[in-house]
Amino acid sequence: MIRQAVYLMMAVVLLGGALAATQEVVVFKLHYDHGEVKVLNFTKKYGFTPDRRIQPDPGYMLRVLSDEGVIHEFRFKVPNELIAEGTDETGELKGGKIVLEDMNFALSIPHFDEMTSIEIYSENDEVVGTYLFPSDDITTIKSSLIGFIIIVTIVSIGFIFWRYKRRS
Amino acid sequence: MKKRGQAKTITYIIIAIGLVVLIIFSLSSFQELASQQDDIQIVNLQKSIATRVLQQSTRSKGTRMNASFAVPSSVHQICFFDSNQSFDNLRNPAITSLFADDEVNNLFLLSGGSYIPGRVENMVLRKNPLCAKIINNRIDLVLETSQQQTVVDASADVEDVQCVSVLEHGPNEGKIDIVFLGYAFKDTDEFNEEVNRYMNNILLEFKPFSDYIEKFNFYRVDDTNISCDISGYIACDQYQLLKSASNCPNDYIFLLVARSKIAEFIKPVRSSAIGKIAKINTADKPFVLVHEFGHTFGDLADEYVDDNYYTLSNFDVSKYPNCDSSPCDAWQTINGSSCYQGCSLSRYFRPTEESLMRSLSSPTFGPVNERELLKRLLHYD
Repeated sequence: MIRQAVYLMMAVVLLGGALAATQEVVVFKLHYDHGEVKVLNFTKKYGFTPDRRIQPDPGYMLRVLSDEGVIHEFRFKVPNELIAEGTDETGELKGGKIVLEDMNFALSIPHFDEMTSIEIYSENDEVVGTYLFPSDDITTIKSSLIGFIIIVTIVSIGFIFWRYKRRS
Repeated sequence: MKKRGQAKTITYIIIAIGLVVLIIFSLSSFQELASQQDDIQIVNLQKSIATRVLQQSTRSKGTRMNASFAVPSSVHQICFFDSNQSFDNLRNPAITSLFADDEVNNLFLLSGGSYIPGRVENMVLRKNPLCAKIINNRIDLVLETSQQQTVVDASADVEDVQCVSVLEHGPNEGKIDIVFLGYAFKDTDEFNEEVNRYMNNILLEFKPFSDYIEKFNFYRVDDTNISCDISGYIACDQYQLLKSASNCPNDYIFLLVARSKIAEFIKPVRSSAIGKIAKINTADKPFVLVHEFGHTFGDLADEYVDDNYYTLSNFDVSKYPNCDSSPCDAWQTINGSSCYQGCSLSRYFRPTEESLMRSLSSPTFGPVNERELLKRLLHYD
């Protein structure tokens, strides 16, 4: 009976590990207006974020914060420079850069259960945007996982108890 | 008179024979080229499966992942069969009878009437043999880690696939991950063909990328709800683009916009680069994708001159490695470079007379641009 209980507890722990292997990301819809950045919307989903192995310097900075402080940050360039080009009637490349001072763009970040807000800093280290996550959003997954583990544990203990009763 | 008539007839016959020979030669060259393309795509598929299975085997026990792989149109069947494992003779008698004695290979692709064998390491099959259904030019597998091996099964759920691996060389954390999105393609087949054309025949044939192919992973997303406005240039909702692209590893994004030459002639549309996204008009010259990648990956400036456009954009020459003021101190030590007038604006200078950043007909970036691109490539594994 003890061995059964141990196996069942191991299954619960391993299942939790398997669930934790999937990655959640947050994709932000942002608005840039002459240096200021505002969050318009966001989506939480399973997926990938860029590696950001090459980060611009100088550049804007996005910081992800929890109650304990900064848990993730990276530099990025606001993508407000559109380079549009094509070949003209003589076959030569023509076109150029358009700088957009008022536009929407998007960024993705990894999702952290404990994250509470993001802050965006300009190249001069001034805060140009902040966003506070609604608390429901952050705790949803944590609550669901804890609830699942509790239910499985209760069912497992109940099953073992029932088997013990049957034998005796 | 009769002799002249005969001579004319003989001439016509010779011309006709010549034309037939020319047509036959062209057709067979075209077929050979198509066959070479298929061979490359088949190799890419084998490599991607092997890479992903190996990656999965290093994860913690019990980890399960769905994986989709791009399949060339010439491949009609994909079967895994390991004669070293116990197998079911009745599952697929054709495969088991053909390969029961093959102790080396365990991946078989049916193309052109014959099977192309391959080997995937660290693989155990849930069912043996296992033939995956090809739908929309892809197969969907389920990979589960078990004791430093990967258990492979075919996915029963074909509706929910979002990321298709086209060519993988390693874990996405260390690679330059490029994802292709499509707009206005009539079907997945056409989109898949264009992805492979741009990847194999254009980007990975271009120096310096051709020397560092193993640093790249390529993916595609088939199902996209992207809305774009195609008038003058390609304008799309970046939020939608990124939501789609984030289904795959996505350091850089290529949006391919399907356009015919006729539509392009009537109303030209410009390809563009903004941030990490390059939007490519497929009717444009093929090298435009590499040129735009020069902007998104290399932060290179245009080396053609358009004073009308660039004067309005507060062009800051110090931000670009390939434009400088005279006498071009920025690249004096680089062999093969000089100082030519004209770089985005006529008052600045560029390192070579011609390069891909100046003209889409140029087959090279030039030594200064190649050096800059190489610096960035070396950040990756």
